[in-house]
Amino acid sequence: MKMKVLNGAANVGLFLAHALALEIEAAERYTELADSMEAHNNVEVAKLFRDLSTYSAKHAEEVKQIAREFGALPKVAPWEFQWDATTESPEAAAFENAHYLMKPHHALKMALLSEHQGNNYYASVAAETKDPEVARLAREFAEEEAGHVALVRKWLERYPAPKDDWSDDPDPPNISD
Amino acid sequence: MDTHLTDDVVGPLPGDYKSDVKPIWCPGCGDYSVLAGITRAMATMGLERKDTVVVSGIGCSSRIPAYTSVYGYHTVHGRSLAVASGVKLARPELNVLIFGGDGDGFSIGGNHFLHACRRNVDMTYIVMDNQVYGMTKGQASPTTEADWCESKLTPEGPGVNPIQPVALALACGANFVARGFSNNPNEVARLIVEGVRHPGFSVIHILSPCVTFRPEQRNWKSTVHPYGREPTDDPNEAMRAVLEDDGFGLGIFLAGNRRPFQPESAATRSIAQIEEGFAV
Ligand SMILES: Cc1ncc(C[n+]2csc(CCOP(=O)(O)OP(=O)(O)O)c2C)c(N)n1
Ligand code: SF4
Ligand SMILES: [Mg+2]
Repeated sequence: MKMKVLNGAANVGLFLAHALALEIEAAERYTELADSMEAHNNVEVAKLFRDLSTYSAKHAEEVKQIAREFGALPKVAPWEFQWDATTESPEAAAFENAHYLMKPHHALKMALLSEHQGNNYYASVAAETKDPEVARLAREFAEEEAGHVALVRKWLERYPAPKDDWSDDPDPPNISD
Repeated sequence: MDTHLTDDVVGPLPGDYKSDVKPIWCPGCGDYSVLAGITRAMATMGLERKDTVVVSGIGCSSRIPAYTSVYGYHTVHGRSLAVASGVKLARPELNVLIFGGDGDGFSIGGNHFLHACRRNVDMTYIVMDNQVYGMTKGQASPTTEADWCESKLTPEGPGVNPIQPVALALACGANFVARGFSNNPNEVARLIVEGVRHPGFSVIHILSPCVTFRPEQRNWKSTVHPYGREPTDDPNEAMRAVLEDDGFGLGIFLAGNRRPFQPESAATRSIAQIEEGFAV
């Protein structure tokens, strides 16, 4: 699907405001998911989310550095961002898809979707913007995201889909009988 | 790794309004996204942390004060609105936001809700409605459907119709009434910003799934829909429209123009004088 991203890519300031929100929210979300998995003793998935957050935080740092060099960015309210295809920024993994018994396979599927959406966003900006500097930056960021997509794909090979009963809990939170 | 900007490239960020306490909600709980909406709203308004208070009752949803970095008051079950009214009337310059659930707000706190709407103190009440008592392991609440049979306490369902928080808020005189859905934290942020900026008592009803005791609420994402009308300042018009709504319409129903309640006279006794009265 073609994204309507032009308003968010009209100039370098606006684009960086979008990129910064996207990267910070992606990194924070992985951290929050890792924390939440830790609280529920799902150690394996917590570690995966923690690793993903480290990668995302590195990219967030890079974008921050570019933003600092650019100077003050325009202030964009959360609901004014032009993500179009997603209600939140495209790389923030959806909280609502988490489950306390989820397996690494599920976590990586979530991450794959997020990284894909991030990659698509930047690729669409690069394709649609009229500003050559925005196009250059967007291509660069899209490449970085493509790297993350490839990485998550590779990890996924190690974690095939679990059996259908993965969410069965012998000691469920609710009394069911 | 620090993902917050320490310099002034974009001003305050949502992360600045999060505390170091890690939420213990079940993974997938809607309240995570509501928290994201809250901190985004606070950052958008650039609220001064020293001038902002969040007040809550008891329940999973009432844990917000622990997770935000502004002043917080995690009070007792059902009493958040009474405490918050006191805070705002004593310190009108503070931004007062109240958080809680459907049980906290409409069962034990139901009477406070009626009078908070009626009194119209300038503060914003965010109710995270999952149509269940989440914290106490899944009992029916006042917003649970009559035929929900999943609790051992009500094996044949509560058997009485749920109350409609939005209609109730309008009937009792709240000055700003809106509904959001946790899956869209950016829209939740917008409603909170609008509610805080609107004078008087603002009620923001947020549908926030309890994935543990109401797992079917994960499907709310295909049930919700835009309310589809412009906000009105006429409570009668808002009420007529809300009565036709199915409880899943999202948007602003009323942005009214009642004058907020604020006593004009200053306190007649100091805290020290009041405390004297309690000395034993
Ligand atoms: C005076 C008192 N009565 C009862 C309780 C037990 N209690 C704790 S939370 C709760 C219900 C919470 O439901 P809700 O407000 O919907 O919050 P949720 O956990 O669903 O977010 C009850 C009945 C209590 N803590 N204090
Ligand atoms: S019990 Fe329900 S409301 Fe409470 S944290 Fe779990 S999912 Fe959320
Ligand atoms: Mg509840």
